[in-house]
Amino acid sequence: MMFVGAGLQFLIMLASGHIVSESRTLSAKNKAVAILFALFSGFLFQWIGVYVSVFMLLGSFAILYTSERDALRVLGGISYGALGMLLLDPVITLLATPFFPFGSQTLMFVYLVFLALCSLMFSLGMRRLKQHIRRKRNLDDRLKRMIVYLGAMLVVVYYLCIYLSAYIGETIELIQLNLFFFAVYLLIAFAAFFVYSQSLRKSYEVKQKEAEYSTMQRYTDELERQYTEIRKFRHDHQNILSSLDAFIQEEDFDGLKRYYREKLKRTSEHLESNNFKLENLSRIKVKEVKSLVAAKLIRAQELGIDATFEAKEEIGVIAADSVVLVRALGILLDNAIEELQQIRRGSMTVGMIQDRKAVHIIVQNDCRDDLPRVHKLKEAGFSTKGSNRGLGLANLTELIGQLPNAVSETVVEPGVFKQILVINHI
Amino acid sequence: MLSVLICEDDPKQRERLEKIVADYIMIEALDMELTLSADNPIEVLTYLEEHPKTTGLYFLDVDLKHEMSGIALASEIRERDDSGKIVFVTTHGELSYLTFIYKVEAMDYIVKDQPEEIERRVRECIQVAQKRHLNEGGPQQKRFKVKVGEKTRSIDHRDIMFFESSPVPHKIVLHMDNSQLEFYGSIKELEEVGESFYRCHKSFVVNRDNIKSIDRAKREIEMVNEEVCLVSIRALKAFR
Repeated sequence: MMFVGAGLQFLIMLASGHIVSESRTLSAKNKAVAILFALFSGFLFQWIGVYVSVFMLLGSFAILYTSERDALRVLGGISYGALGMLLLDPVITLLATPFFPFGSQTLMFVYLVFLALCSLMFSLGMRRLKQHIRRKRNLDDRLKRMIVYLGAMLVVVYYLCIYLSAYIGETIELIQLNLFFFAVYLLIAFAAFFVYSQSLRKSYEVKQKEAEYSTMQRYTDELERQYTEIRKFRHDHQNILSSLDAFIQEEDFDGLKRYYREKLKRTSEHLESNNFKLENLSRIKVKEVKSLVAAKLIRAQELGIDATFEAKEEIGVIAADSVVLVRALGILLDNAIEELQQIRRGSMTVGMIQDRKAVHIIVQNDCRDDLPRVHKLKEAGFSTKGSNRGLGLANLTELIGQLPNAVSETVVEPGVFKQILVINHI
Repeated sequence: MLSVLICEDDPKQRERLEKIVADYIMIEALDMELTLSADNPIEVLTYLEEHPKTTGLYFLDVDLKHEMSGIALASEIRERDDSGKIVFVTTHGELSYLTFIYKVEAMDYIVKDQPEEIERRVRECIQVAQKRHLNEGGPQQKRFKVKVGEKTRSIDHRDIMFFESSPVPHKIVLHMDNSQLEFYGSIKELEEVGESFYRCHKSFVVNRDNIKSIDRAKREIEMVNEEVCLVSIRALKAFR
């Protein structure tokens, strides 16, 4: 019975880890390895007792890792899967002992059945929770790692407790005490985690504010420069008018023609220069968005990219969580700038268009002719610069997914890449 | 027949446009007529009220010295004549490319800072408008209509690969040859889009006309654009 129990525990552990980590179906070979390993665990249990759990943990990690190749996700899955099992183990034991004699075969049987069922249910719940959190909030990598390590640490501590009680000799009192400790550890761990994530968010917000402040500063400088430019132009304008007047007074039309071609045409060319390409920015009244777009476009211009911003109406509100929106826009603009830097030509245009129902944000840039197709670009982990570099469109899709009132459109036309974000008013 | 309508507040420039348009129609003997040349937007809208069946080619100045700008006028025209072709005539400073193309789906724009270019560009626009107008006269293609913001997008069925329900509730992703469009809806109601559309999976409705091949072992459908969508065992039977 003990032999079966240990083997089954391994399978439960593997299945829970598999469920929580959202792994793909195991290959036949991996399934065979898992069964063999379960038998092995059963045998080993008779030799070394509960310490076999070390091998079980390592075994499930190895099996899932060979199929997934994502250590963090697998570690997280196994930790939180095992955590469920570890918590349920004393609970089931304690609930079952009043009905069946402690240490009997029937107890063992009932225990195993319930453990299997409850653990799998717990894991399914865990997976639901994970998906829910992912949809609701954007977790950055640091936080994800923190959650995984926290789970792994808890599992280690729990097992240490179990080894200790196994060493002393297992009694009902000890199991109760263990359960109590488990619960307390869990609470402390989550409280600590909550505090940490809170402070992380704070520090992120502070950083964001600082960045916003410094770009606002640059934006103001830019405005001042433009203002000077306009003043100069106004001065020129006066001069031009008086010289025109002089030509007309003297009825010197040849002179006038020459003057028009040589002087006036040049002035109008000047008006097309970079200086006025971002003036529409003043129509964005959403501060975070304005500062982000200004920062990215000014940087683009400094890199020698022809960047224009266009908004004909005032953009007063954008109904979206500003952290998510700023991150999404940041990715869009960075992608455009990177592409233009790579192809060393072309221009980008960013526009915000308002209608009665929504704000449409358009980012359009020239791109290489052999750009991969849209569905390739949207695959997770895909980047035009090789794997795991840059933030791909998949991340963007995930980010936008958090905004229930926003939809996106991606269009590739020969030589032009266009991404549109439509944020409906609420 | 395509009607040409001009709205430009500056009399000199209006006259010039009129002449270019009238001459070109006459020289090429096009089936077109210059029906209105106005100096304010209200006149254009009144004309459209009186002649609701008009399909027009509109040359609009952006700055009309009127409380209604050329862009606002274009939006109004769109509501009355949705297959009309709109061309903006503008100075470089007023050029608002994305608004022209995206908001009012303008056909083109002409920059008047280069006077020597205007005539050539106007002629080009007339040619393109005529060509499009003639194409539209043919058999009506089936189109899928969807609202994005205030705008209605109309997409030719032939361009649709498949619909996929997004992991985000109530959102659908429309996959086309080389673009993807999200909108609000449910996958269930999309089965009814047309007879070539088939619900091949819990979260996919595929356009049978654009299928390239079916991999029965992997239970995948490859589309003509090399994109892949899933097919359930039950739905697989429908493909022979």
